[in-house]
Amino acid sequence: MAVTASGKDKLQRHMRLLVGGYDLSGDARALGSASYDPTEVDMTGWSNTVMQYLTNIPEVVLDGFEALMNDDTGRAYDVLKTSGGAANLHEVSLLFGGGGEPAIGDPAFVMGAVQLGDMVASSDGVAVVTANFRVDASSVTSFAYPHGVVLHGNTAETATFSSTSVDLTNGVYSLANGAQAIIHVTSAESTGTWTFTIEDSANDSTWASLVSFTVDGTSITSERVTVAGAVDRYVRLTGTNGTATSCTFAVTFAPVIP
Amino acid sequence: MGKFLVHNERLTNDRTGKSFTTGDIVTDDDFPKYILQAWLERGYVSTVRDDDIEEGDEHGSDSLGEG
Repeated sequence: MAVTASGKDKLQRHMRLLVGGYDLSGDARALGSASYDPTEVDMTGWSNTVMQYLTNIPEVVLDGFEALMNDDTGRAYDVLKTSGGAANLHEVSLLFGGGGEPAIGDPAFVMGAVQLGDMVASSDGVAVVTANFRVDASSVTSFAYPHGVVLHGNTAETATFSSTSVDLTNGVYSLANGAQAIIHVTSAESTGTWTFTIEDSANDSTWASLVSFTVDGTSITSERVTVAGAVDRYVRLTGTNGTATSCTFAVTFAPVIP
Repeated sequence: MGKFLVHNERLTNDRTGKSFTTGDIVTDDDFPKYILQAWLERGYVSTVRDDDIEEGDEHGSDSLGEG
């Protein structure tokens, strides 16, 4: 059965920011904004009696993420200190847990991102690092809407599974124009390899493979994949590994709004 | 409705527990007709004639005859 969208229950303490396979939430202090912002074009003519506008291409932004300057491996400063080039490219997912840890069907902000630098500062007596993200031009070649859903919370699987499905029509999604998805492997598998596949269904019963990740769960990493064309109403994640021990990962999914 | 050659990595019917992969042959015994029609339009399956199918091809084998 599909889960439904969560309601009035999104607290900061249940938000999780995953960057490139690392959960930085334990160091997180503040978030400026995560936004989808169509630019405006003034279309007002001489004889119009009110200002008129059309929306132009949108900008997708995640700004002002502030975290403790934790320099342990895989923590905020270690991940966000910029070294230039490809090291600044991240898959970013912001998960909004509804009344608890983010789970299947909760909202997510999904972004193939480039980090525009870092800023180290002092805030309330502690050293913090701040990062801003924009859409990565080297990997995001088509329009990618950021507002989506969690297909798998950042939890472990120990055997082949098919997750609970998500009914995409619970939101405002268009399902005719493709989608993007991101996987973050936050704790790697030590036995065998995983195949992670997103499936879709028109009736929540018969399923077809929609897109598979290349990531196989054996290292901490992330990957963004895209789908062209129609997506059916229901989606779910499957993972196969006949010799699995344990792999912890999160998957976010966002249909494209034209 | 006939028989269909699978071009998708995995087609699954939760109700029957059956799963098919690329190269398998499926029929409307395996999936509802409207689902097969939708998959036909999306290229997940294609129609095949009976004389395209060698004996033993249905449900899980992976080769087609020259037809």
